[in-house]
Amino acid sequence: MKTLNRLTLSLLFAASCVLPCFAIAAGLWHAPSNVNAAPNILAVDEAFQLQPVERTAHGLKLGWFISPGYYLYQERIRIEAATPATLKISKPKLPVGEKHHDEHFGDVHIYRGGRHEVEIAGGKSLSKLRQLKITYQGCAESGICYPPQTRIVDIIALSTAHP
Amino acid sequence: MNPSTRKTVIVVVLALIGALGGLWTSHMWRSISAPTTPTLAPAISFNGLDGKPVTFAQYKGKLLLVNFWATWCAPCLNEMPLLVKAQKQYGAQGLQIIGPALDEAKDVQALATKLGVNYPVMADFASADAAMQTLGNKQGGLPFSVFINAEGMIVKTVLGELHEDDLHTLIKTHLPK
Repeated sequence: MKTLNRLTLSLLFAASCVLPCFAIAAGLWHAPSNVNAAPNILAVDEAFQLQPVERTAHGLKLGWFISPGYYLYQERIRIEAATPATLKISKPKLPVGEKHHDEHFGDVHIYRGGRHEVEIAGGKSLSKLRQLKITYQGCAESGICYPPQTRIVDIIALSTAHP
Repeated sequence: MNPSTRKTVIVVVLALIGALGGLWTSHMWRSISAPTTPTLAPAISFNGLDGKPVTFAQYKGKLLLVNFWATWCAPCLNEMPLLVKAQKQYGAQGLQIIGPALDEAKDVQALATKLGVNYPVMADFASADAAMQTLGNKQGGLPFSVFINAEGMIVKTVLGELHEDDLHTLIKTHLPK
């Protein structure tokens, strides 16, 4: 038992000496020459994965899959008709966002990691609509923000995959 | 707890503290150390708020800190008072900050006035976005800061908010001699 304890202690002592070196080496190994690699962030389309716009029986459905560690501002989401741009669409029904107080922007709502769906009511009145213009803006929780993104998205046929 | 178990626990705790210390050291090293291979800054120009061009070249001989920002970027707004303070403190020693914004001119002007910004800011979304790509910020995240020394070499880029201690260390390290 004594031998085992000594062996364990020796191994742990060795680990206590080596682990910090590994940690430092691991950090420096990935350090590029010029651009600070920390914090590392996803490409914007990976951070905020815009889902296809689908026609449903009651209108349109769209949404985002937001990667963990990222968030979108509810107040910075804009959805407009793109083709034809003159078509009026109803106000999108956005999901309930998380209340967030920002020192600079005051009380806002955000959507954190996960799937968030938006519905636009309209039925037949939307039958002539072919494309939507969707604008959104968000940040990584590590303290980096992406510029506002605008996408022109085709509207696909009535969803059968998600009734 | 018998003495041998206690020793084991102490050693494990020390090992974990050592590992965390190592990770912290490596993080700090990456955050504030100069790169091993400084590169020549490309020729980049922005349209100033007054319509006149602002170029990197016109600040040769100074430590140029190019701080990309926007009014919709909370971390950018967090660090701006530090930049204002740094410009005041180190300006006479050769620091020049410029702030190209990925934003609208009216918003940039209003916020710069509100925050008492004491260095040139520009509202030139397309040029600023293209410049960030050229300077290695492929994801286009903000804030993004580039330190260019008196010889026109990029000595450090930082993606994310600058913290006061790191900012002072970087400035003091790279001010013109």
